[in-house]
Amino acid sequence: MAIHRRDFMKAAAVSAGALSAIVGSVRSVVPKAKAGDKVGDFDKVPIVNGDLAAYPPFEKWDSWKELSGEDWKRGGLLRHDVKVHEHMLVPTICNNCEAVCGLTAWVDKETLTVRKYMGNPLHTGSKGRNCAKGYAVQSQMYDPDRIPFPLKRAPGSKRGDGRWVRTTWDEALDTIGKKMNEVLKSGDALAKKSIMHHVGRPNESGFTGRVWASLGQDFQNSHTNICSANGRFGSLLWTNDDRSAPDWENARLIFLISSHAADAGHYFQQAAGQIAAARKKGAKLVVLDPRLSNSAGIADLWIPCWPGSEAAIQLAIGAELIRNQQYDRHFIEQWWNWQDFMAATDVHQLYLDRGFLSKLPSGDSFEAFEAVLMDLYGRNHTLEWAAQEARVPVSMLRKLYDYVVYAGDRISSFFWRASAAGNRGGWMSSSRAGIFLLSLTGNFGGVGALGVHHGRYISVGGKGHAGTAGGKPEHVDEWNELSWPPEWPLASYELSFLLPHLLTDTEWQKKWQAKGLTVPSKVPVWIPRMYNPVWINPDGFRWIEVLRDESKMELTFNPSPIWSETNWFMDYILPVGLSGERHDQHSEPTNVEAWAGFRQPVLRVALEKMGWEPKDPARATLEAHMKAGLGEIWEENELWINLAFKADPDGSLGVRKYWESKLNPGKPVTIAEYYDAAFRGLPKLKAAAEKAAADKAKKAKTPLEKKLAAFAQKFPCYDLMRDRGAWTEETHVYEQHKHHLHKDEAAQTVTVHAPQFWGGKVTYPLDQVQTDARTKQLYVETEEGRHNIGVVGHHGEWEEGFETPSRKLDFYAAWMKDWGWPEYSVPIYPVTDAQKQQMEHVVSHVHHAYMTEPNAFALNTIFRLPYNIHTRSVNSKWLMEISQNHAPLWMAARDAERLGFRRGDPVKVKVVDTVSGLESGYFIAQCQPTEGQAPGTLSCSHHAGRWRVMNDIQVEGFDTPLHMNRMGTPEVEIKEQGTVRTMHPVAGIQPFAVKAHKEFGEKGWPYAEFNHDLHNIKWDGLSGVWQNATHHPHPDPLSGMHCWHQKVVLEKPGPGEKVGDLKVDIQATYDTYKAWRDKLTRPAPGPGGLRRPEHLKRPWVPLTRSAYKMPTT
Amino acid sequence: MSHPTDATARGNLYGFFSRLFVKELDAAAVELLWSPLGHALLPRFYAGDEAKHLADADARVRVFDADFVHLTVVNVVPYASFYRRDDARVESGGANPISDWLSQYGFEVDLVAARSLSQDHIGIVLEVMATLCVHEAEAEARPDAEYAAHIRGLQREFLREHVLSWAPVYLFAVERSAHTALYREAAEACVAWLGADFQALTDRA
Repeated sequence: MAIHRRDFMKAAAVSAGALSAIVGSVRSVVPKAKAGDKVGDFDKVPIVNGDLAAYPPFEKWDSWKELSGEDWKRGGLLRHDVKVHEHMLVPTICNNCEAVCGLTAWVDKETLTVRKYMGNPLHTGSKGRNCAKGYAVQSQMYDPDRIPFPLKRAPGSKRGDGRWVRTTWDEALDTIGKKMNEVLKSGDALAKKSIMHHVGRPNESGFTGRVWASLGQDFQNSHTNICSANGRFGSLLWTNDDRSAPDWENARLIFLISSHAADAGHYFQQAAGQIAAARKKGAKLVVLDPRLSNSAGIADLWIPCWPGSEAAIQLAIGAELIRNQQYDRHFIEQWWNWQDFMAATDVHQLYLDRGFLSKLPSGDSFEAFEAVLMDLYGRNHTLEWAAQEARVPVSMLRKLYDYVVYAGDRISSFFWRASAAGNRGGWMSSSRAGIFLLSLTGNFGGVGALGVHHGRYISVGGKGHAGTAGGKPEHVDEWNELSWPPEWPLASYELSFLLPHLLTDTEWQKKWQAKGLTVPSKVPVWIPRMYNPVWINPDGFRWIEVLRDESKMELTFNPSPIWSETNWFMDYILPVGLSGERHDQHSEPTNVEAWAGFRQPVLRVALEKMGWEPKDPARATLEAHMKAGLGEIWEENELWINLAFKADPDGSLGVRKYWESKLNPGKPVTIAEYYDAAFRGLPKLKAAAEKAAADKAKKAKTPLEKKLAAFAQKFPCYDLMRDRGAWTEETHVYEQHKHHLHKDEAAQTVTVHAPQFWGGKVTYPLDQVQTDARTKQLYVETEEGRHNIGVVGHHGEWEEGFETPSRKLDFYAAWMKDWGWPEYSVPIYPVTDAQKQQMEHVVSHVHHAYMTEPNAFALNTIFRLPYNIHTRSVNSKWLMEISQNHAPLWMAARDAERLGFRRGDPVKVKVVDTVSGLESGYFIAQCQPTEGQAPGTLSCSHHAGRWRVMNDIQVEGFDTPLHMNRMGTPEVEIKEQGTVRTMHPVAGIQPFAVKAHKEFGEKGWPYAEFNHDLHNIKWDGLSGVWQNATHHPHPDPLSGMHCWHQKVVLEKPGPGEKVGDLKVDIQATYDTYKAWRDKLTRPAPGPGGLRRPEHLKRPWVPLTRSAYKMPTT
Repeated sequence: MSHPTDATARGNLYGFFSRLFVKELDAAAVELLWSPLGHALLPRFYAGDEAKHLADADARVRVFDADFVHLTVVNVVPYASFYRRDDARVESGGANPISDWLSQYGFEVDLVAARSLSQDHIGIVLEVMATLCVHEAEAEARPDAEYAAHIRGLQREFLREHVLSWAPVYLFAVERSAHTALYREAAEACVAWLGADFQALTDRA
């Protein structure tokens, strides 16, 4: 049949109705302009260097008009019915990980909604770039399951019953403030250990510490000991700076045995960009990891070493440098404290006795020290031995050696998680051995090298003292044993993951009480902050046990934007803001600059710049969020400022004054006052701010512009950061140890760094400063002995040196010997089996020697998924879409074949502790055989496996059920029998729909406009498992770090058992905590009856010197 | 020279074929078949005896719906991915280029309404063409010749990349396998229309 087109057209032209008969399955999701919408008038994107600019010019951020971004492909500029949005770009900082990249919120000035989050080009760390988590902030802001108002546990119900009442911010503040007032009033030792702030990732630089200090509380309890305490401990030993800071971009060798910068590790997105730039210039990338991570996948060399064997590898490479005399002799002679080691004859004897030295050193010259290096390392730590220890071919180590030699003094690494966080002695396998290797080649502080974070970091968030009536809070004069137990005097951070164990362990409490310590047996007020300890910590059911016990946890509240497993057991959940809904100053050492970011509630800023004013300036963020339709969402800064007034209403407790406005006595300090004072401490920022404020005044024409200009002149530093969101105070920060000491020639004094209880610095008359001719150390003889204050440089200049007691890199840490750990006073790793038994503290608890059964494996759980961030991405549908169903149990293909597991098979993973010998229980995961996993090891990220116990949460006082993270949590059933707990998933994640609520309106909660697509949920969340619940707690005896790896034994599941199931006996995990504590630690007091060496600060809360003294009966 | 009525007429033709191949006949579809367009496109069907069954619901099910199931569910596969993938599997997930195209241009498909497994069903892709014709007609009515030409470019791209690359194979199979003159002739007409329209779009580009 021949039909011509004109026949078709002729037929169709006279016919109507065909279109109306179609089923209408194809819909356009692109909005068209409505009548009255302004169309056609928009700003043109400027051309920069021949390309379209990534961001509007800064001077147009307050008003930037652009076509609806959803429509550009269908004609964009050509269309006449495309809506034009007028945006205000409000800078803020991402809160989804520690990298704190800059963001700009594109606030629609008509609807007061955030249409998108993009980067901030003024942020010199992130340079306008973000990862998926940054862009996903919008989906979190308009998450339909976020909590829209304060919630209170229903009167008469028990924690975990799931009965809730809608309450008001005023009621919550009154109740909590009253309780705080009651516990603070007595003023005794226990009162100073009563209000615990239990912090997940702080994601701010100082404000939180000021809260504790103002309350006089030693109850900071951070998450760091499940995160990075081991990584920090090795850095503390070498530099007394608790983290290293690489210069990735200028390195010749990127040496990753830690967080994997191209995957998800610390400072992920910013580091990945710098590493890519370095590789473009020819840098090599080496990754040590039993798992083929994304970083390993693109590396020049992947060494799939056994977990914990990194110390052996690094010492062996260092030994090879020593054997071949390819180390930087001049750097070591100048900057290692080798003279101290040569004087430590008792340590020499110890190493001789244990077979590390073949003979005692002869003489104390540098040449004699070099001979010791050859004996101690060159003789013992061969490449062949290290290859056996790591179970890798020796050829890999030879190649690594070649790269090290090639890179010379431009090697960058970062010691944080991975090996550090996984293994007992992870501090040795990561930073202690790592800095040994790097500094052997003169790699410290220079271009392309590893450095310290001091100087590349700005912490002023806790320094808004000048804006308050009370000024700077006093140091806290108490020591809390629940956060810093005497068994771990050297711990780099609090033993927070053991809190429920310590609260349960009355025997332990009584033991130390009998010795004169005021050990609390309960926590009157417990406040987690950005933290979900039930889910993220090992032994989560123990947490539930203690949280449900109202005699141990009297009042609990969580300032939290969303539901979590922990919140389920709270008394109050107080919805505070996400990335674009709160104030925080935040800085991190992500590059060789000192930059500061300013997180802000973007809707509040937009409203204020449009002329809006709050009724109560101390509650401006809450009012702004309600005005903009976001909900009764507040922020932590203003919450704490208001709560201080409730806890100390008449000022008699001495708390209120620290949060009282200096400008308006008797009133709470405002955000503008506080942060203006805080940022004023940065001289370059202050100068720029004053100039910017003056410019605003000159240009102001309209009444609104004049009003904003007057505000800028009153609070210039705050105003500058409100406009820019980021500031870079210093660039090219290198070799901080060579900075000159601060001499005041007029006063004839010198001021130097000193322990924190001296205010962090001390001043001496110049004529008291002496020089040690042998060591080149500058020192002052004090009543307490010699105080080293710096080092004489090559040209006679007085240099600051490091923060260590010697002011040098402490190859030999004398204080380790003083505190009972002489065998670890230098970087060391046992070579023989006998040495390993003697030095089990630095041998991983999942060493292959412990894998005695054919189905035993070392399990690594702690690698991040790049699109997830622990407990903080479950509220993003975008991140859940790309991350769910991606947490299998990676297993070497040959192991899987040997044990009969195929892809997708459920695997029963039984968890066994190698110190207590106890089995805690099991979890069931999904098998993924792969060539990308070292044989004998397994990987299963613990970043999956979230759960909820209820679908609909009925709230008294509200007509609509709330829901708990429906996009990222399957529903589970929990059963308890004696000390045994089981969990079983009963329903996966399902598609759902939301509709506007009459109270919150069309654009308010649950944000129907932003959630049209929830019927598209295609993931069920049933491939993950809450494995943390089955993990034994493993406190490292030195650093206090929970050593995450677990020894596991694999079996096939029984009938009816499926992925997601778990069973745990919390008596076994409890006994393991005690075994690690009693078999491995060496408790305080140390020399001088101290709880902790005085040069090691207590992070976040400065204590008095007397608090370091351990009481006696 | 522009043809202000072309876009609407073409939309009607795509709509007609879409409706015929997306699901069984219901009252609205019967009305469409009885329209002048139906008579013009399917002259042999109306010349024979089969058309009389359109009026009787039971007969419609027995004759036409049975053939529809035979042609689109049982024996002939109406999904692009079946023809375009090496493994001949229907791709209902993220690796479907038609889904990508629709997502790229801001279209969403209600698979329940279309009663389909995947977005690359013959009825859906024809409806996409109909929808694009509506956009073109609206642009011409404003008038906005430049935008209308842009939309025609998209139509041509979609037709070339995502319809002509497989639909004729399916429609030829329908033509060969159909038990009823209705579907046999509709498939034949649809193939002819797709080719003719693509040629016209190319000529105007």
